[in-house]
Amino acid sequence: MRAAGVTGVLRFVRPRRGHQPDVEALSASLDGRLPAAEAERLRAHVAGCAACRAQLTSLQSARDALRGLGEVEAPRSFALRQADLAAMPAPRRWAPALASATAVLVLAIAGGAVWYASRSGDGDSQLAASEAAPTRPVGAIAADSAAPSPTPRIENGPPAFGSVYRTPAASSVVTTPPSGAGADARADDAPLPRAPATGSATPEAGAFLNAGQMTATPHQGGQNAYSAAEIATAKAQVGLSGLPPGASTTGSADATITARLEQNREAARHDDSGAPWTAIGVGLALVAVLVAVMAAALIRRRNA
Amino acid sequence: MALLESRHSMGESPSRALSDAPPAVDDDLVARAREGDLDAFNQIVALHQRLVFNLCLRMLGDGAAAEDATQEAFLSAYRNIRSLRGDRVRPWLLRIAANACTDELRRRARRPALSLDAPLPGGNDPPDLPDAAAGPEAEALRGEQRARVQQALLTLPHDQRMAVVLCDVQGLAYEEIAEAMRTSVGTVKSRIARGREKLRRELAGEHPGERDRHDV
Repeated sequence: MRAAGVTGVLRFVRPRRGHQPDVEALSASLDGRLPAAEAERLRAHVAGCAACRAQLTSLQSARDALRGLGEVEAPRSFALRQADLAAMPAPRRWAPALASATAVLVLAIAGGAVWYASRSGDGDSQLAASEAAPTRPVGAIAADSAAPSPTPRIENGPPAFGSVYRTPAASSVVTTPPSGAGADARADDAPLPRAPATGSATPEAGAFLNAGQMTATPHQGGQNAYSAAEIATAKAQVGLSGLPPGASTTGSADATITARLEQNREAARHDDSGAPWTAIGVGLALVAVLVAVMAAALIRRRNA
Repeated sequence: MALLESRHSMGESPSRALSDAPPAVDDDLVARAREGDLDAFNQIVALHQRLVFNLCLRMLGDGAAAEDATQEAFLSAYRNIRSLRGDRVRPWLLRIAANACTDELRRRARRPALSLDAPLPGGNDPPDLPDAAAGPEAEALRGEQRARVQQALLTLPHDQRMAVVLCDVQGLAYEEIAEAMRTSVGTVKSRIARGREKLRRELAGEHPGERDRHDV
């Protein structure tokens, strides 16, 4: 009996004496939770193994002690009354409500941030255009715009250019000799027939280009360097009509344009904050999603 | 050999299961309860309150606390009725009851004045298991033994305690215990084995009872 049992259960055969009984298997066998073949082998092994037999006996005594506790009748009815429900705040109702409210709030903030960022970008599309254009020192602008360009800039310039040079005033300048005092200095340099669409032949442009202080510091870290687009934009914003055609007040025209350029630069700097706003908006949206997911997980777990 | 002869149940299904016949909860009842029908829900309560109360009683070892936990469990169940699916009423309720017990144990851990060693109230005696042949003395002895077992039970870690109570006191199958505890059958098997082993040592006085009493 013993020999047969030992050979029958390889998993229980340990060469050394006093092997550790498989408590889990012994326990499961008490509940009839071992496959029949395994239960049979275990039974045969236990018959010949004092350690396993002792372990099985103690597990069985524990089980019997627990069974001895028995079940008791419920001491009363636990049926719920309406009063119970009314008295109890429903934590499950406010939890998702709070989570949803938080998510909506954060999403609203995020949406607002994104909207703000996009709005400030749209409002200053000309600024955006001026930023897109390569920045060149004023000296370069002077040379470039004073010298006639073979092709009209109107064709490949950014939108800001078009809006400036497409104006009838600019084209009409071509035929009428400039009357501005500061203007004719440069306009004389440029051969008239080849100046047509550049717009630099306008009195204002000429006045600006004559500004000594502007051309004097062309390369100071880009601080005073304005791109052609910027200048064009500033001029458009100041308005060609803003200056009397024959005004000889070169300095004031320059000052106006310069001020405008500074203003635009300042606005552009503010516009840069659009990028962080977008990042903040996206970040907040992610936080909102995270809050919603965590709340959902929490609720699901509590409902378990 | 006598020991082996006595274990005819080896390899068979568990022979004893007090709560093993799941109460008939038809889908209609569940559906109505899900709609907030309090009467339907209370029918489910009536079918399961004994099961839930006994789990709470053995988990907490205190009749009054078990009543509170049971009431709390059913309230929680009603509030979370939408998480109930048709044929899974019993493990669902047991899970909620176990949570209620955990909450109660945490509350008690914060109020150490309520000792776990307090004598068990009378509600602990199972009136449904009368020992007809025994006299008053034998009955008193049995009560004493039950109190000892209950005290030993309270020294078990929470998950082992729940597993052995559901298996050995309430007679549930491993599968249903696994579902109630949200774990695998293998884990349940292991918890029951370790729980029984520890309980046996505890009853034999091999471990001082205070060692991990508050191990929840």
